Amino acid sequence: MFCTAWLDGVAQGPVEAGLVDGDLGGAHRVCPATSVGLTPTAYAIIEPENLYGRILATGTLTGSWAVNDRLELYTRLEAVRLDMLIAAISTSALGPGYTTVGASWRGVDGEKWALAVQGKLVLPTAFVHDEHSAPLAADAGVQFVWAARDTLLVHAALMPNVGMALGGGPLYPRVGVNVDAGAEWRAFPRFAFVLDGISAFGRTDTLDYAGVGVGFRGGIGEHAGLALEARVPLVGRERALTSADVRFDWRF
Amino acid sequence: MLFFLTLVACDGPACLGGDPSCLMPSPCEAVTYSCEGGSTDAYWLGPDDVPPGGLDALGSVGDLVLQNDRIVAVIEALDHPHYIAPTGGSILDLGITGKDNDSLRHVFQATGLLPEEGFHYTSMELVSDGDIRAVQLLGTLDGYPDVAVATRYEIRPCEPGLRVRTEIGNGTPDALSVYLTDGFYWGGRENLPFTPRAGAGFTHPSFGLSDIGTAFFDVPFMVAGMHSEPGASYGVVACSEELLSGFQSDNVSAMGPKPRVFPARDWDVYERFIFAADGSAISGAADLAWELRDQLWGEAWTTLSGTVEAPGGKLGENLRASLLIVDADDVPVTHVLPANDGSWSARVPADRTYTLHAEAFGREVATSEVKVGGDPVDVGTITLPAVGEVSIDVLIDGVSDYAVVNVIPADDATAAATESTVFGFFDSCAPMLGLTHGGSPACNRLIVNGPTTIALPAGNYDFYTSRGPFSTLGAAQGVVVEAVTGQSLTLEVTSLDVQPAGTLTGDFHVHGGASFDSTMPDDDRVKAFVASGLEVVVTTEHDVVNDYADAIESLGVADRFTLLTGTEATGHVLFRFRSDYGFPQVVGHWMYWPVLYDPTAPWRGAAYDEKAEPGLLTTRQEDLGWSPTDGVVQLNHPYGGASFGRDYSWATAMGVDQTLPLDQAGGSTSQAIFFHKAEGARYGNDEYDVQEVMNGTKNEALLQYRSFWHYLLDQGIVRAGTANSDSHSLAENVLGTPRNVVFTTTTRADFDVATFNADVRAGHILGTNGPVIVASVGGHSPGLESFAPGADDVLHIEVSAAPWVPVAEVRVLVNGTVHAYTDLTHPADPLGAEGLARLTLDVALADLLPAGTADAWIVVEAGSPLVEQDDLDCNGLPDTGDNNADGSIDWRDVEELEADPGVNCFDVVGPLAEPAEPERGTADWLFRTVTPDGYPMSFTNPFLLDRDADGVWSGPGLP
Repeated sequence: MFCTAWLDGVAQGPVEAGLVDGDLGGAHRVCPATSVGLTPTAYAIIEPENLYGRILATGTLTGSWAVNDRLELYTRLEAVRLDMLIAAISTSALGPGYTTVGASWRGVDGEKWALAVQGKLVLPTAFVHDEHSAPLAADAGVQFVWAARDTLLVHAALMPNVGMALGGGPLYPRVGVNVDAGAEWRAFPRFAFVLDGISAFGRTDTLDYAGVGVGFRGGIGEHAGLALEARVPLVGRERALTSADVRFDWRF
Repeated sequence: MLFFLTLVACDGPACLGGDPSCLMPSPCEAVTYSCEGGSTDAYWLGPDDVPPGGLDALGSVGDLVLQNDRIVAVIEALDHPHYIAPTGGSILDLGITGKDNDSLRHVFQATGLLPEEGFHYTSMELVSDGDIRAVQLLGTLDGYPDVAVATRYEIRPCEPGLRVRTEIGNGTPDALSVYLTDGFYWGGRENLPFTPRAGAGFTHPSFGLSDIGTAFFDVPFMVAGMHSEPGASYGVVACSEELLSGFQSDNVSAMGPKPRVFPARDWDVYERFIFAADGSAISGAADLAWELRDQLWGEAWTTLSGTVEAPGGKLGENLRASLLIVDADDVPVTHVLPANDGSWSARVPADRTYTLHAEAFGREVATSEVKVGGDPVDVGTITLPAVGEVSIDVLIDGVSDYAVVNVIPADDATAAATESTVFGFFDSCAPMLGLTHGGSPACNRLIVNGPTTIALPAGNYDFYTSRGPFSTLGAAQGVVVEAVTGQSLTLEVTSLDVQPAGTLTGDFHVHGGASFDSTMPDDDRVKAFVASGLEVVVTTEHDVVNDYADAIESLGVADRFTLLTGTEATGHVLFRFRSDYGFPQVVGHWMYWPVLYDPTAPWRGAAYDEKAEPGLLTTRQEDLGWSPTDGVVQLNHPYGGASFGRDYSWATAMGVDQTLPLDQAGGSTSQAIFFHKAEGARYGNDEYDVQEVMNGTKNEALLQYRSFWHYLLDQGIVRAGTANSDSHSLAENVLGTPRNVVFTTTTRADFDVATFNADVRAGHILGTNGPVIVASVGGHSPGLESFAPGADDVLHIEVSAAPWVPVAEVRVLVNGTVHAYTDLTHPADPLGAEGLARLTLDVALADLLPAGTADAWIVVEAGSPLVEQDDLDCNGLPDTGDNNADGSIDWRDVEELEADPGVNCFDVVGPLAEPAEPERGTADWLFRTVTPDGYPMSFTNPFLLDRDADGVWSGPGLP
């Protein structure tokens, strides 16, 4: 089974530098792992012509528990979220961010392939930022992985998602679907490279975005991992130049 | 789960979900007022209704009136937007019931500074609940259709203001930077905002669009007072926040909750109480504000009272004094104007120690300290320094008549002892006889009509007056004013034979209280019309029309001048019209006359003038009755600065490079927008008649306006040049200085507006602030009709002026090349009536014109030598003078440069240099006594010489 080649600290799975809060719509790895991590993230919109810019940075804590070799429960907690808006009147907010809890279950697989059911819930814990509303979002979908070789995985994911705002105001419901596909290649024992085609539809517009995700992943010893990842929307309504993160993980 | 259920159940906004039948809750439930016999009323203004009155009143048919036993407010109809707001639904008028004292310009809602952040209301519904009356407005942000907004204005019996609730929800996927605010658009020269913050009061930091963040401060409330009576004071206290955040200026104040990151799907609610008190004093509104703070936040207040004594003067009649009350933490808490009997009272927070700063003539003259607990305190009598009284009469040709008298310190000591500003606003005055931009007396000027008594601090003063530039200068010099004494002066003025026969004088740019940036009462404005000696006055209020009929009738001066009603289209709402510029703009200021005054119509008959290129403005004015054949379109002050990103001037907004020709091939680039015809327009932007070459008494931008005029002439684009005062009050530009001398066949006795305007359009105009030029070539006068000159034709010039108008040189400009003549005569006695003729000159055209037969233009000027200015950014426009007086104009003269930028063309330039300050007693100084900061200047319109006699005049091309 190809997961046996990914038991050390080198990250596995699609690029996770989400363009949406809590990485809503993003697929998760199919090979369960028990780990803890620290992930600084950044998201940037720069539009001088509209007198608008946004720099969003978080200090995110991650944790996962491999319940067994098929099921992983995971969480990501934005311990600190800094949202800076550059406008005619600029503003910023600093406080705790969103909390994500999710699960991935590799339901069926073969020696060279796997099909996982995945989902997550993004909880409204950014109390400083969302002063009145409580945006709640969830996704659920499937990811197929085919191991061309144990060190070369091809993945594709379909992740419908939904969100709405609680808190007494309008619900502002949004429904969309993410469709991502890509490949990760462990070119060296302690280094992997991932390239994804990313797309999302329906959440904010017919085409939310289409673009690429790219990641560079390294392992330090048997347990530690370091990854630099980014998603870059190229077309669609999404205004961000990029979202990026740096992942420090310790795998038990 | 309990947490999420709590979130679902909390009291949220009512009208953000798109339900048109929603009902917003009543705001400010903690506020309570009670009285006997309270009442409310709400109604849509109909053609037979009399709208609330006042200096700033603009309510019109279709607007909504909310009224109770204390205040009356007008909420403009959705299709009657004013000023910065993209739609109606703002507070247009607010005054005291039955007082007709509206002096509030406009209060609108926005979430930021950009046009797309204004509230775009789409529905407006009247709501009644018992004796509560309210109007509920629903809409979106103007540039964000997914950001829902809703506002409720509510009035209850007995209450001195409106309860206001605004809801907003971010339905976009993006986080927005939101400053949910009421914009109090004062307009400038009108209400002065006051905030109780340490070191503040009337003092607020200056700021621009780029550093506005530094101007934000948290305050418990904001109040504002007016310059003129009858007026009201205004204020706002938040109900949903303990403190308000915002910025203040005499142009606009913004007050609301702190600016915040507004994430997608979040919502917000802001509740506040916007109120009015009778009278222009800050203390009226501040009293209400402290009372509301007590109701809302439990802040106790008490009352201070006392008496002010002013030996030698009459408080409220000829002497204005006030008290600024400041606590021990340097927080000004209120500002009081004593009544005519000297008594005063004001509410202040309890349990503090206060210093009372007494002010007279704009200067602090006494202080007193008092400690208060919870009970009212009488601080006793505050005695101001004694003053003297002067009674002034002006005889025009031997008869008492309206005149503007300028009071000027006669020595440096008196100047130093009397110079002051209005709480730091506006230019300084010495002495400050009254608030700078209010009615007479204002700054150091007053209107008299028969003996008029003013109070003055002891000192040595000169008094000057004239009847415009074509009379003698009436003067009383070195008048010593002693405390508690009175004396009388008579200034005598004689009309002089300077104005050419067959002419009418006119000022085509005049503002009064109806303009958003003027508080000059109609009566005083009309008195100034008479005092100016103008024969034709075109009233040109910003965005609206005013005919001054009531004031003219009540003063009985209808036969003293001819009044034409016009309007100055003044852009407030930024929009994008240039393809080569990344930011939204406005198109500067444009004048239209005559336009019909309609007291029941929005903008009083003017056309809506926002988001329109000049040609579309003209189209809209024509749709309302302005006639292109009988009327005039004037480009005002072509170059200038900006206020809150709103350009004052079309040429500045275009960004024209005057070293390059204009582009007639189409498009909307900086070189092409001049000719552009906007969608829906019947006119191109270039289809205007005249442009201001002189604007304002100071005339500081003459070289730039003139440069643009010549730039167009060189390209064969011929527009007449005008000279206007742009006067807004007594204190700044002097009405009729400069003015147009129009050579016309119509007369005051049998005035024909079409004939007069035809002569204006044809350039039969001399523009002047004193010197008079009569010029001709082969029997042809200046004007836009070209002619073929004879081979032996000469340019004949006669220059004359009143004796107090120095004329140092005459300039003949041929295709922009200057020929100067300085052999002029000068009168022996500037205060006399002799020595009017200064120069008679004949110059052969052959000696002036370049070789060949190419068409040419000639303009004649007379006055002082022009201050040298240079073009340091290489766009063909003079922009910088020798500001450091080192004999050369270079980077050292540029205010914003601290080092040589090392390039030939600078990115930053300016300022223009001003004429040197003349020495006291010189002829130039005397000229300035009634022409403040000005210098003598006049110009003819061009002679257009069709030298090749092909019947078509062509410009000589750019140099």
